[in-house]
Amino acid sequence: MLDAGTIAVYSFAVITVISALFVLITRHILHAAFGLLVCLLGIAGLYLLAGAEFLGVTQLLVYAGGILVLIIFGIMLTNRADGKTIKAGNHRVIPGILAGLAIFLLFTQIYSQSSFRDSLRSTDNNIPLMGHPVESLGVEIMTRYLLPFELIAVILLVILVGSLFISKKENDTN
Amino acid sequence: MLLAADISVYIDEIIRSLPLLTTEYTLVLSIIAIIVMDLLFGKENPQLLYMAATTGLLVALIASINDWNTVEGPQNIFENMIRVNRLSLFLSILLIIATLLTILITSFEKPFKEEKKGEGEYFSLLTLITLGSILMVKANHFLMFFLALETVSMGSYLIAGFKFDRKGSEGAMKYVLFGAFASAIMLYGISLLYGYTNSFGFIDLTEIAAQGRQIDFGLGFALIMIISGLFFKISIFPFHVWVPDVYKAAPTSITAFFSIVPKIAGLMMMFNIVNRMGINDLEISSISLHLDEMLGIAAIFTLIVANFSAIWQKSGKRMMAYSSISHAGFMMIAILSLTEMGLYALLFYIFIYILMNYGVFFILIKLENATGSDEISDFKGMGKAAPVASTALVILMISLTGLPPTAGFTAKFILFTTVWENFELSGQYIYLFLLLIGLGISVVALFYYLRIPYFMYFKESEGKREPVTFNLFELIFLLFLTTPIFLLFFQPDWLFDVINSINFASN
Repeated sequence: MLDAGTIAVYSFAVITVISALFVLITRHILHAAFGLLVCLLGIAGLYLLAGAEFLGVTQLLVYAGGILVLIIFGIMLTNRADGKTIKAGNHRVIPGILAGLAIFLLFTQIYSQSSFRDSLRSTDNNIPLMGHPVESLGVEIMTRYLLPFELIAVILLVILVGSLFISKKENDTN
Repeated sequence: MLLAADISVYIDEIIRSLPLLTTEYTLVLSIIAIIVMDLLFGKENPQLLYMAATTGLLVALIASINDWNTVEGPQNIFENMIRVNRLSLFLSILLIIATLLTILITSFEKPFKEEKKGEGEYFSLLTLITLGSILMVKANHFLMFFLALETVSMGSYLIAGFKFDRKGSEGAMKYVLFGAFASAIMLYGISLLYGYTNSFGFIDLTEIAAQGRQIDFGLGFALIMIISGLFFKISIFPFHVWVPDVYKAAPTSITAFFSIVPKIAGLMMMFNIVNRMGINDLEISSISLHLDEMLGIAAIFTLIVANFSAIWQKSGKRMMAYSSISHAGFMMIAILSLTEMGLYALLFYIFIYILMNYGVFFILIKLENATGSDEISDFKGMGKAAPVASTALVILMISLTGLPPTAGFTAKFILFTTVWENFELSGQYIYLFLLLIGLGISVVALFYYLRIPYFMYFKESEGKREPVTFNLFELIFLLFLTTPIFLLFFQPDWLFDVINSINFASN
């Protein structure tokens, strides 16, 4: 008998896969963006069910809330500039399907092997929880992972400056 | 809730680690200083930015040399995320020197003299890439490894488009798309590896493998994915296709930078992973694939494809792009020979490669300024118009081919000796193949390397050529790059005395 958790995992998985397929198949680019929204929400649900609350909430806030809104705004603005809707097409359908199938088979081969499942089930893989996960995450970032955290800060600063420069209009002299 | 005692342990670790990264702080401070100076007085006098970038790098160089003089054994800092040893410090010094040379040849290039824009962004990106490369050679943890690699890649994507024209943006866009693909593959590999080993460190896989060498398909595939991502960054077959387009589209001084700094960092990363994780000894049992043979075959194909493609190139920059792919193949051979001699051969090769490549790109910039294009056929008659540049170019090209009396010969000679010793020791035929292909390919290389001097000396130009002159500063720079190529042929010990002080066992 299936319990509620398993049913929830499978329904989120089905939602994710179907909306991802919809993104691929639809020719209307705005519909594709909405399909992507559903897909990202489904993945967030999977994260939450897997016990990664922080990751799930980040996924909701950053991807579904931030990046996708940006994409939809971009589509709407460029659509209006042209006067007609942009159509997305699919090229090289058959090689694409074949490559996808090959990768699918490869990964079923990998994940069906016993050693990988064992390593997932082993108890030392479960990160010991002390207090609230967000709290320990914050402490870890400021202690053990301090150097990567600071490096990301530097990368973001310079990349922001560089991309602003690249996207600046040519005749903008001020 | 974490205990206060745990946190104090971490803080002690951070305090212990901080003094060993002075080079990195200097570079970060110099990035911030460049951005602020650009905002304040970048428009009026961009010379200040050149000076700021050069000063920052010089201070970082002094910090690295200071560490090189004081650090004895390997130091694991930041919870084993970074390993500082003499090898990584030696490479930090080389990388900083290479970036300084890039700034020098940038000042000779036309677009930057004429356009008068983007210096601030350019120098902060250049410093950022150097910072990333230095962290790459010091990384001992996959999180640090990936972040450092992405620092280098992100900076490179932006800097590749600094020609401000349609071609430049196209090349940069291509680079971004290929690069994002390679990073995604590598990240997936790292996550699979974590699933198997339960650790992000560069742990010795021969300890968890069955009978010391058999690993199963999933783990092997994870390693292949990580290695593929690295292959992309150092342009090894079959992940080299982006190189000629990007190198051709970028400004020439940036092409020189791309062919040296990120590539050397990537190669050392490869060396560290292969060495620390024992990848050379592993075998994927279900398809009986030895990983060292896989790396060897990739190196062989890199050499063959790069050299035969280089013959047909009409553009000097595209030819140098294939040449850099081919040299990456040679350096891959040195990585495969995981012996003390192999490491020394690799370091010697890297040092000579830096000198040769900057020399060639410097002369290409001069020729480009004189003729307005980088097509080899446009260099006709330059032998008379630019005698100094042509003579230097002949020397550098002979050295790139690997013929005496240049240090390029010494580098290849040491490399092939190492490969032969490895073949005798292990009896694996892959080393014999590597040796034979490497020797054969050097003959092909002679053909295309000498094509530019051939056009310059033996073809007459249609119109009259304006003589190309060098000022004193440029002459000194050229002498600085070419003299060691002769000196190190006659006295390789001068370099070997330095390299030999790096202890192979402690890496």
